[in-house]
Amino acid sequence: MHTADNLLQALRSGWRMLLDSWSVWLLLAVVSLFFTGLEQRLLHPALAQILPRIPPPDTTVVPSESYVVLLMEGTHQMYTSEAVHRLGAALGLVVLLKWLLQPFLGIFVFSPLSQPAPTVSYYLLWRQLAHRFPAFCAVAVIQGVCVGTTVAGAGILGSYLAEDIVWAGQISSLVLLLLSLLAAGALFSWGFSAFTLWQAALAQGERLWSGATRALKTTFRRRPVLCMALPMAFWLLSTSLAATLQMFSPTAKWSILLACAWLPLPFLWLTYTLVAACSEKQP
Amino acid sequence: MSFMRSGNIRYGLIGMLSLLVILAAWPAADAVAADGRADRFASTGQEDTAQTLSQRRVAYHIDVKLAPETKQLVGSERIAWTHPGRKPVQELYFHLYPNAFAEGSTFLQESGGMLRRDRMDRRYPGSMEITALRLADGTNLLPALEYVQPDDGNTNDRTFARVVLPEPVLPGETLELDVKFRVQLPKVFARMGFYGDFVMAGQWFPKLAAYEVAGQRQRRDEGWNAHQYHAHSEFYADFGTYEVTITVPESYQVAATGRLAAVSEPRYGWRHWTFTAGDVHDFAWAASPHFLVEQRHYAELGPGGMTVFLYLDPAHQEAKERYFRITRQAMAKYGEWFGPYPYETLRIVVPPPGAGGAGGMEYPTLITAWDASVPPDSLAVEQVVVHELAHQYWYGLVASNEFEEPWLDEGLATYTENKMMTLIAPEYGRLTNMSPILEPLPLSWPAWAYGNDTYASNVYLRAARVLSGIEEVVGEEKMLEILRTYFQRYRFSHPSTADFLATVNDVSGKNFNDFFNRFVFSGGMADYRIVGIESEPANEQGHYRHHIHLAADNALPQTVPVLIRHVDGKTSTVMWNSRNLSEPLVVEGPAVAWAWLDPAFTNPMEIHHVNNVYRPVKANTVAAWAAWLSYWLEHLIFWLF
Repeated sequence: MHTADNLLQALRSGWRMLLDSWSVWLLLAVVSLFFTGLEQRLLHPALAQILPRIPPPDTTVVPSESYVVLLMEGTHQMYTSEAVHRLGAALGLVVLLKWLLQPFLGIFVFSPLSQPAPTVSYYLLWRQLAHRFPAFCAVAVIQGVCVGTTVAGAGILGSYLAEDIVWAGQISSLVLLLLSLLAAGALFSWGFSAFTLWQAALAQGERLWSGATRALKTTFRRRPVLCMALPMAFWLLSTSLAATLQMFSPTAKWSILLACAWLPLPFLWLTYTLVAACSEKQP
Repeated sequence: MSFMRSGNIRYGLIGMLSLLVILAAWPAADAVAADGRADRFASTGQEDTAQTLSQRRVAYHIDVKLAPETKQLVGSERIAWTHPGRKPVQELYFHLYPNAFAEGSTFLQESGGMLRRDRMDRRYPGSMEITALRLADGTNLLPALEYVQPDDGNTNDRTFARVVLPEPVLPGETLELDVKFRVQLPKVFARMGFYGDFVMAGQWFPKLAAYEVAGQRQRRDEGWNAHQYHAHSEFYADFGTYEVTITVPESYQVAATGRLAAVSEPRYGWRHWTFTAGDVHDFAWAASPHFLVEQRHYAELGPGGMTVFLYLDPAHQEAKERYFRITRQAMAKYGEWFGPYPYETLRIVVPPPGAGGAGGMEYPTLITAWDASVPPDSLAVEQVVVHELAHQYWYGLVASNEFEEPWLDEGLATYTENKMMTLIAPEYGRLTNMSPILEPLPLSWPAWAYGNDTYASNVYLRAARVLSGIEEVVGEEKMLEILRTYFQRYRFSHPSTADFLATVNDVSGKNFNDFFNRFVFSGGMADYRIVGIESEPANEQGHYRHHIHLAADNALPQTVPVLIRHVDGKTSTVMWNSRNLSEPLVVEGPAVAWAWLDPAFTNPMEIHHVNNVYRPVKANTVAAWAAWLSYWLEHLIFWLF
């Protein structure tokens, strides 16, 4: 009961902070919209080629084996196609750009935590934490390397297991794949909490490495369950709501606009809630 | 007939008489005439007939003993090589295949210790050592033996060796050599080794390379066909005769190439098995104390009937009848299609569960099925027998060069397998023709030019599809006539791709040079595709005139079905002739939901099917998909960073 009260209080506190710093939400929404537009431009020509070639699901007139062969041929073609390689490289550049932007956005996101009074002024938000820019850069680099390595590792493991399942029909590989997905979810949750609390510590005046130690202590010892469960819950909620928005929007354009506007909201709420929940001042 | 095990074979009087002979002279005479079963085989052995089937360039007399504790083969051989060419020969080349299983070999480098999903247990490597090498006059040649690596220069590879002779061998002369050797068997891998008590001895003795005369396989100058042992390479050798005495513990049963000429009485726990074979180009054997052996004679097969011996692992006992049935069916059909199988015996070895490395291989008059871990009710039982028996024709009798032109053997064997299997499982051919070939490469490449992912898909599958493509053009009857002519014209003579092409042209009366340039000497395959669909309103309301634009690369004169689904749910199939490339296919009806060219993938010559499907997609649908996909990508990146 006590824990539930604390969580509720943290959620309220996070929500208040989000409302007080709505300009941060606006900034993140605009950035998201920009990147979504960029990715859309890259994907459009590829989809114009691919969509007419996606086979209709109709096993009454087409043998089911044809679909299996098409899947294998299509996957191979994707791997070997120069156009797909170019698209991959372009999307990689987008991710790199986003990564480079990360320390700047981090300052705006965590600045409200160290403001003497709530503000929506970008100037004030920036000025308050500008001197910690190198530290935020260091966190972005470490976070990028960790996420990149984990995603690549999960991808390699996943494709290896998938190959085993498809070619050898290994049930053990299927179980391992499901376990790996669970582990990836848990790692994502923990990583989100750790990096959020680390940046929050930097915003509150901690040095780079002592901030990291504090974040690790909190995520491992003080609030392990909360740090593991909260990001996953928010992510699931945010994803389901985004999917619902898309489903019920009259046009694709509107649905994307709404989804991009929505995207930073749960993210910021979660960030501030985590900080509030893990704050040592909390009763 | 019933199963019999080695312990049950008793010889009575004949055995006692033979014991006396054994005491008088060992080992040559200790191999007494075996039981009545063996005598029957001796009466029709090809090597005893005055007229030989092949130009016997080489004769091997080998004595080998299996050391079951150390898993070694210790042997001696006398090789008699008759020079078939016109120029003096100053050097000899030997294949020392077991050295492929020693660290650093080209075979292990190329395969990474993995072949056909079978992984080598590197704790049990294999090797071969030549301990003596002399001319018949006693001249010691061992100091002159040097390992050579003509293909890749890998100095750690010891699978091929050269000996410079003190005197050249003149044309027509016969050179005799005495060789002693020791083989350390690996744990079974890539057709050779031990697995518990089971032994598979393929490529197990020092073997002379093939000597090609001018004109053979379009060769300008005569000479040795000199190649190392590669991961994806099988074998090539001159035809000759073999007389091999194999000494194994008395409890063992031995399956080998040729006919069983004699088997000795047990002596001090050992028994000698002597096999002879003529007009063959290799000799393999397998031994195990656990084999369940049964034989059946089929009088209708071959010119003088054929005896099939089955060496069955007990785990596959329930599949016994299926092995015999499919062997009889397949050999009857192959005889009808291509010509008679000239040997009197055929042995089928079923390796024990786990010895998969020994499974699925062909040798003259002996094949190995899949190991007994394969479910005995699986169609794989028939499939492997059908495939390996096809090799008896293309590898065993025609004997193309598997180093340099592996497609000629494997492609023909796979094509034959597909035809035969389709007779017993009608869906087989269709499903085999659907196997994806993701990286088509020229078929005329040597075996080692392919990678691990591309060898089987090209040399087996694509080659079989190209042969089916020839059948598409000439018809089934003419195709069988082509193969029958090729077999009968070139058996025992090592033909090349050019010889096969000449036969195709000759028998079909058509010129297939361009076909071979596109599909054999290059990696081309036909690629039919739907480029787009244009629709215009028709007279009837809600109906349109659809112009389906088709295109093709490497087209063959074929008629291909196009399946069209209209938005009202109705489906129609229109046949499209690939000659009419410039003209769109015109159909009338409600709007088209999708069109699919050859949706059942019946065309063996097409391997690229992704562009066979076309569904008209509106511009705003593409835009919506792009928007949604980019949002979800952003969603993912947003949360991850």
